[in-house]
Amino acid sequence: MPIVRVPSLYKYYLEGQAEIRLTGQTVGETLQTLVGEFPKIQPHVFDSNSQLRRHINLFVNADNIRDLNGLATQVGESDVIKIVPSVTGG
Amino acid sequence: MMPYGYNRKILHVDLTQAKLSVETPPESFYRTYMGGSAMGLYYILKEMPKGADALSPENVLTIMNSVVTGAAISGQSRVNVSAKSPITGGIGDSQSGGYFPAELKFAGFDGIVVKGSSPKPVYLWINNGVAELRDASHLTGKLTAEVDQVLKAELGDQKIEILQYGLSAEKGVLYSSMMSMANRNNGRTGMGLVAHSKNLKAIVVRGTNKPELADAKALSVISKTGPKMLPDNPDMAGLAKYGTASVVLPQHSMGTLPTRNYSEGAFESAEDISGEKLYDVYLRGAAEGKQDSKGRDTCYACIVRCKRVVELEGKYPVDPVYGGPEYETIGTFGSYCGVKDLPAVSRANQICNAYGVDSISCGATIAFAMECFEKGIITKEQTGGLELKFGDADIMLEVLDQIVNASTPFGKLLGQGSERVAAIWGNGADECLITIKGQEAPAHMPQAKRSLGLIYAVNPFGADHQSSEHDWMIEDGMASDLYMGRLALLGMPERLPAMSLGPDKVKFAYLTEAFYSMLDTLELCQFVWGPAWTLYGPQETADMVNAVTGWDVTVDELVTVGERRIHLMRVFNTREGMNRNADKLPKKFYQALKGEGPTAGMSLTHEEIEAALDEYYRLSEMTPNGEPTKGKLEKLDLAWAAELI
Repeated sequence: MPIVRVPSLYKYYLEGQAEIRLTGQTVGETLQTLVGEFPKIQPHVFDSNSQLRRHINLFVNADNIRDLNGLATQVGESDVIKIVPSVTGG
Repeated sequence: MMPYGYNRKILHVDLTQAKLSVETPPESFYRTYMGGSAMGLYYILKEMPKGADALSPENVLTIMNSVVTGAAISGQSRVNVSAKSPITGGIGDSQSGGYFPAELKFAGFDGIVVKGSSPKPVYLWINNGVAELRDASHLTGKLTAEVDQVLKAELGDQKIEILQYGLSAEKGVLYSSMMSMANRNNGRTGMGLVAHSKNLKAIVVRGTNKPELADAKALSVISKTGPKMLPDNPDMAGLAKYGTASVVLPQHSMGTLPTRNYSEGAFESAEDISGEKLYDVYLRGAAEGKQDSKGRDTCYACIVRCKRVVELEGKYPVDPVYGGPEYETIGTFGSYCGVKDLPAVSRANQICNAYGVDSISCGATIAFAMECFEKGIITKEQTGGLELKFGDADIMLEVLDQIVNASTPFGKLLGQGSERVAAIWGNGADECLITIKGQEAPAHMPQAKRSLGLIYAVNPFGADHQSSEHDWMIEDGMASDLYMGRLALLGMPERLPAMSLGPDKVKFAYLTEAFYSMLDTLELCQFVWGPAWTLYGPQETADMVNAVTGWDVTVDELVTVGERRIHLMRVFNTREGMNRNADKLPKKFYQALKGEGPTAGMSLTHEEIEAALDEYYRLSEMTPNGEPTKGKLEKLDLAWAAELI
């Protein structure tokens, strides 16, 4: 069961928690568990077609999942899935 | 010996006498001030008398590029316009990009200093080092794109670049701006109105002489790393593809998308005005899937291509010559006004660019009026019969039209900005203000980005979201190793707790403010060069400056240049009677945010802001009253400026 960690302001969607241990064998499965248990976060991570929002970056520990196996990246007990929105200026 | 990277020429224009002269400052001058705001301030402080009216001939208007402008690398073609601001009464400062900055450099000048005023409208024509004033009477009453067309035909050259004030300045709109390309906006602080007060309708440049670079090969190496790094930097990749509007959704999710005049931090229709929506549906070429080639634009030599191009027909037609909305415009005409119609927001962007007004102040002033109407502070009597409601795109555009044309008493009044309007309406209208130093706040909320509360208060030209790094770049849960490695070069090696405004966060604000100030001195694009998320970081910035100029600057020296600019601005403001007394935030920022989302119920506190101000002044070596000290000015090689206060 990996940990899912979110930015401080996203705690709002997770009943005040910045990190939670959830079931899931892959990043995708774990996120489905996340939105199932905390539906408030769903529209901020996935769009209406259930696709990962384009501004959301996902890391397993220090690695972007783009450089791993995407949402199919396997995760375990010692892994931390970080949800990090892209933020720039303007 | 010819310098590398710059011309060693400043053009001085006395409009009263209709005289032009060329100054050739020494290399030491350029090494000290480097360009942009800092160089402009040197002249403004020396040549503008204390207390001058911002719209009088005594005001000094400067247009400056920098020692690196025009070099063949991304993010260097920007120009600063500075003068005393008619909005704030302190220093005015605005930046924009495009092609004008590089062309000014190639035309033979590093900057222009304008004094006096012309008895009739003129334009300054600079053609490969030769400058003259020409009659511009025939250019009045025209939209910006029309002026561009007329001048290109008149001068027989489609490659000229033009910086102009627009029709709204002729109508007296306080937050009138300077425009180039009909879509690059030196927006803030009313510089367009200052130029109009001088009857300097436009500066037109054409140049083919690129200054020699000290080490073109070294610059090429840095330049070539950019395209390689872009795909691996998800923040930059998002900016390139979706523009600055890429932050609409993250801002909404984190409760920092100003909504209904900054009363809330989350907008229920954020998706409808997002960068993704703009890209998928409304950019030119989107219908045939060619928006990347047809719907994105760029500045001279820049690979990022973050500018938007919108082309629409129908109820809200948009001419692509006016570009497309940036994040701030989407904020102020979108969520600030409760409007979810992106074509309407794009139309508003066109009108702002066509008439030459600051989209931040304009949209925010309309949102302010909407809140006043909804609260019953004003009625149809004040609005000329209009029912101002949040969410009404047609009303938003109608009011905008009245403002830019000054066509009604209501429009003329709103054209003076919300703070002046509130003073006239009374009846509690001041409770709806989001102004700092008289100018409306941009679309990044300090309730969520705590250090912005400090920077908004202390920034010498009013609240500015591009004068420091934002909190998320150093906070736990957001800051990547890339950001932290770069911030460490400025002396910030540790991540900080979110939502804090203690001494460490103040230090972060202060150090990144100095770095951003340097960027605005070197006229570098803050979406390419910066201390955290950008394409190039602090060390690459120093390397680039050295490759262009042949100097041996360090990151520390660049930060000092940034501090120099900040202190020059504070000297100007202190001389005009502005110190800690002007570093104030609006009442609204201290009231709990409404609505839903992560920041609902949040507010700043007076205690934290006052403590942050104390710490900031201490770090800056200013007095507790926010005034520059002789000791610090001497350390910054600004002993001459100390004499002014």
